[in-house]
Amino acid sequence: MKDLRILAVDDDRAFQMVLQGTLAQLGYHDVTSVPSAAAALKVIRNNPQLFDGFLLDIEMPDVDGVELCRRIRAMSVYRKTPIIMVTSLADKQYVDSAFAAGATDYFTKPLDEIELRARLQVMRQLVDERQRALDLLDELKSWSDLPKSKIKFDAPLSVISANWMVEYLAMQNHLLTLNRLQLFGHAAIGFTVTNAAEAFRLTDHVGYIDYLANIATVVAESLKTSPFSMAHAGQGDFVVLTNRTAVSDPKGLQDEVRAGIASYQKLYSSLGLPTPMIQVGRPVSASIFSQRAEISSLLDRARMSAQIGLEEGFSAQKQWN
Amino acid sequence: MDTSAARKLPAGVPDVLQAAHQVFINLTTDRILRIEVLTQAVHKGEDAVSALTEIAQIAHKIAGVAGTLGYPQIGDSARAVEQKLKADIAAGDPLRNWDSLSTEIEDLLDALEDLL
Repeated sequence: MKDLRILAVDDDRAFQMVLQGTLAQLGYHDVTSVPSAAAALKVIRNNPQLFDGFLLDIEMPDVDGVELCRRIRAMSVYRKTPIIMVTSLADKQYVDSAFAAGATDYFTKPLDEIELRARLQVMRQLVDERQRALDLLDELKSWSDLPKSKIKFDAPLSVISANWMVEYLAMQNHLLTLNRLQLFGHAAIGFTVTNAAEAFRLTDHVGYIDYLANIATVVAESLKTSPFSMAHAGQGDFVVLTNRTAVSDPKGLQDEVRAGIASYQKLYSSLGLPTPMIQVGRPVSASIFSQRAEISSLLDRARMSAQIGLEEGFSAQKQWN
Repeated sequence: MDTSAARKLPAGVPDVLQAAHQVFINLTTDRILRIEVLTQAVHKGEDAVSALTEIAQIAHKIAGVAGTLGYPQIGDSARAVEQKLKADIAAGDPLRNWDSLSTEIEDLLDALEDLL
């Protein structure tokens, strides 16, 4: 397995060495450590080889980790690269600012090897997911008849390059970082394409991604609220994370999405593809007393709610919420 | 006091962290001295916010590694000092708990001196 190329930024020399030693123990040897944001930006600009991920200390003098995260995200090549913030327990209030600046995840000091291992496994999964998407894009550009790399029907995949589209894993992670009040303010809504499997069989993988990308765009246009984020979870299931009060009429939303999809009916027909059949689920939210397991299952419940559908799922949905 | 000789790693700390441990020990003398200077400045009535902010920053660095390097109580103590200082500074009343905090800082310095 290719070693992840990581840039670690921390102004404390002792912590840098602890981090580097622990990363080496976990099998990550391609780590560059720098003591400041200025040094990090210099390394990034002067290095022809891209980094696979970043570990940024939040509290640093002059330019802090949150601002550094923002500046890295502003570079087009690093728009989706995993950025993990490193923070002390006293700095957790800054984690939200970091996520707003584009951070993917965080872990706390003092370093816990198990936590670091888990965070880096997520980083690797995100890197692999992005690489799959890039491989497919390369094949599209090469005008191959059929892409050589395979995507799996049930695998999460970023289907469109938009600032509201996130990796499914990143969305799951983000929920686990929210405090109870913040979580209480969020709701997850599932959108499922009930005939996605049929489309997957009828087209090549590039065509299937285009199919999903079009659906994602229609759904995004129907969502009149902001901000929201969307992820494709696999199997034609999308999940949207938004404010708890944003969608008060899921039936109306479903009708709007279906109308938007119907406007593309002739196009789908010309491509030999079925017009997507969309079901929207009832918004699912966590209670203020939610335990970690319930938070982890929030997105799954949103998917299930969509799969059951609004008409059939009303009474069942009440039990889950 | 000579800190140049390698100090033995505490039990349970992996060998790969030997170098990091030594750097931490080497930094400790300067940090003790700096905290003492800053504490004196506060006692003299000099710029409290600036001095206490810097003490919090030093405590933050100590808290970030002490536990991993085999000194969890020092880490906890440093974190408590950091959190309380930051809370008082953020509240606009940096000397609100100075009497009790200066005692906690003294205890932290004593613990750090025991490492040398």
